[in-house]
Amino acid sequence: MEWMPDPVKDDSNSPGLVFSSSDVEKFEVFASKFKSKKVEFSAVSHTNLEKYLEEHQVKVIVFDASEKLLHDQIQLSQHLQSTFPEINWVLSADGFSISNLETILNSSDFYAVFCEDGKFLQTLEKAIESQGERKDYYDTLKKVKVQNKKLEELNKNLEGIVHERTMKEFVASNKTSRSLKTIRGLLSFIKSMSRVSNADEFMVELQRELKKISGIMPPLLVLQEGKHSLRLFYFQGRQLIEKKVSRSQVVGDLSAQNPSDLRSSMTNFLGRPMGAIEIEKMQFQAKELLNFEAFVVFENNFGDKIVSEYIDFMKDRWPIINMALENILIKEGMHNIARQWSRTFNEMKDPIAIMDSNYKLSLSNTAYNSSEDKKYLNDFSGLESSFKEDPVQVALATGETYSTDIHIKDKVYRVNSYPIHLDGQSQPSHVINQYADVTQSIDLQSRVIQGEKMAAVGLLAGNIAHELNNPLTGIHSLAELLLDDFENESNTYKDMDEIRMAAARCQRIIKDLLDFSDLETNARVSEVEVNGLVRKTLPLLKMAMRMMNSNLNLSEGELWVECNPQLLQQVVFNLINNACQAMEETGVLTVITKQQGDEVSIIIRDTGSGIPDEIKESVFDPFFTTKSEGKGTGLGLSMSKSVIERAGGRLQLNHSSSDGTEFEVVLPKAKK
Amino acid sequence: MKVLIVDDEPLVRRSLEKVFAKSGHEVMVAADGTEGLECWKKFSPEGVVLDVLMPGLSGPEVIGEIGDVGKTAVALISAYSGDYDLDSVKKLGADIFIEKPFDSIQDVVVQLEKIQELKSR
Repeated sequence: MEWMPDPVKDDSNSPGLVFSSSDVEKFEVFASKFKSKKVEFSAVSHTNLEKYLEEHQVKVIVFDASEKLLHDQIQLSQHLQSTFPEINWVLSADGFSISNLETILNSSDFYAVFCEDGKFLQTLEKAIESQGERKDYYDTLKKVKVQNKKLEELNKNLEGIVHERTMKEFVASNKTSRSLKTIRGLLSFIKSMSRVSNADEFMVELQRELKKISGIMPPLLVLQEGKHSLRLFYFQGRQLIEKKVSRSQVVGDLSAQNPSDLRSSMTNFLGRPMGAIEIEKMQFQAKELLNFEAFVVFENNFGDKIVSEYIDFMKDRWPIINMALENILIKEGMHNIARQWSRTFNEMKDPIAIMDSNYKLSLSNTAYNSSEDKKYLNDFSGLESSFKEDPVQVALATGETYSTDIHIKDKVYRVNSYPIHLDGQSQPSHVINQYADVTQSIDLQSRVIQGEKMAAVGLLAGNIAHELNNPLTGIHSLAELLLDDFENESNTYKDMDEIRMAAARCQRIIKDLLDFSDLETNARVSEVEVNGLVRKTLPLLKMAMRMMNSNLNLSEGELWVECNPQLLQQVVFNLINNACQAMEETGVLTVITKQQGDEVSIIIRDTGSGIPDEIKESVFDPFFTTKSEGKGTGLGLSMSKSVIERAGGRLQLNHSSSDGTEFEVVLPKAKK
Repeated sequence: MKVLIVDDEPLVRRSLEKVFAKSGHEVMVAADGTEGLECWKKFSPEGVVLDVLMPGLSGPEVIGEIGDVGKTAVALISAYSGDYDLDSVKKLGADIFIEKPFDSIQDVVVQLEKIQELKSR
């Protein structure tokens, strides 16, 4: 707003004193009055007065009023006085009645009035003089008024702006605080929902949140559980209940989300009437949950109208609820998978361990942890003698599955080592070792091999035996016949008798050999006389025993046990054969039989160099052998052990040192 | 009596020949089944000692060729004792089975004499 200065009035030809009258003749009268006093003045008719005042700087107006035009003149004076308040007005009321004079004086503002008064000039001069002050005052007042007016306007405008701004700010801050509050509420809900880890906690949090709106009861949660049942979570009073219900108990199709169907179903489950309900079906993003059915149900007392507060409140919360629930379900799923996996892992009968290249265990199953051989299972270094390569290192180096057998005490484990990448590197970092106890299968395999071997030997032996039997029959018979041709005491008779006896011995050996290899009878258990069996077996080992001294210490009387005779003979054969092989040529073989209580013992002792301590534990292992290739399979002792154990007895290594070794077969005495 | 010995093992053949001759019997020997069958037909023995396993014809086959052995006493002898017993050899047309090796060779003579005597009545 601009503050324009007042237009400057031209003062040059204005005397500052105006005589105004409606009667032109009066000008002459007025002029004559002032001429002598040299007071200059302008004479202006009432009609032109306003115009004159606008154009000239006037100090004093002598306003000549007449009673005839009183009313008009009052109006004019009032008007001009208010327009030009700085001017001093002097009323000339010539011939006025008192009442008219009062009227004009009351209605307008006159500095002085003269009515034919002799002091007129003097008064006039005073009026002109005092007008200076008046003018200053009115000028100032006018300026102040103008300024005030402008200020007022300015103020008004400013106020408007301030008000507008204030209103805006007020509205905005109101809005902000409201949305802040909403966001804070949402944030805290997100926070609490993100912390829930199971359906129970979820329900508790949801219920707490719902307390913020009126008309909503504690929530219900319906989760699918397999094809035929549902899991229901609901509050009974303050208590959260989880209930499994059969899907057949649900009225109608849940996914149709028909409130009245669900309402009647819920009424059934909860055993109480339900109010109006709102159902929200959860939609999950996770692949495994795509078709998973989950519903959050709110019982409410909104009546027929859903409250907009509820809709607004829930609008932002549904995604959170949905996400929290999905999170829980995924967690549950993962938990289930993890549980199933760990159960599977632990249920595995074979020990399994996951280890790194330093044999440090990452994970091992129950079978591994409770294995009596645990301390050996990941200590491949200590077992170097049993196998050539460390499966862990081989599997890690080649990146391929590696299998090997390790021997631990009397067991054989097949170690399958599977390399895996646990740390995301290109090289496998760990190895899964699976230890399958193959002792039995190897044992079985050995027996099959042994059986096949024996069958082959038996077949061969049978054929050879029969082939030998024919000429032996001839030798024996002929020698027998020839004996008659010679004198009893003659040398020829004695020689011939030797031949006959040798042939007879040969025949007996062949018969024993045939018995020994008779596989069909191997399975049969019968009562066996141990001393007879030992006696029968020794001749079969004459070759092995040819250089040794043998010391036979058999018990007096018979020792009967229950066992398969052929198998027991094989055991005795094996033990004596081993004893012979363990000794140098000058060794002494001792065979002792005895009865101790209800047990019968066969002790076979040699004077060999003994079994080294480090392999003492392994001597009963299948395929464990110290003999050079071709001399033995290592099946002997393991087979013998299993034969004796099957007969209810035991085969033990009693003693072994540098002065010899002693094995003992212990069998229960036959109940006779 | 006239005795035919059929066995491919010379020692057995010889000892049997000897023991029967000693007991006063007329003995003829054959080294295999084919020869045995010829001798049987030619010689008409009253007693035959016949080995089971032989090159050419086996003992039971020789009996089969003869068909009805009539009053001839026939003893089958074998080292494969498990394959035969008295009942099974009787079905083959023999009278007795003697297991090799013999417990005593004299027994062979005694047993064959006994059967021949029974059959000739």
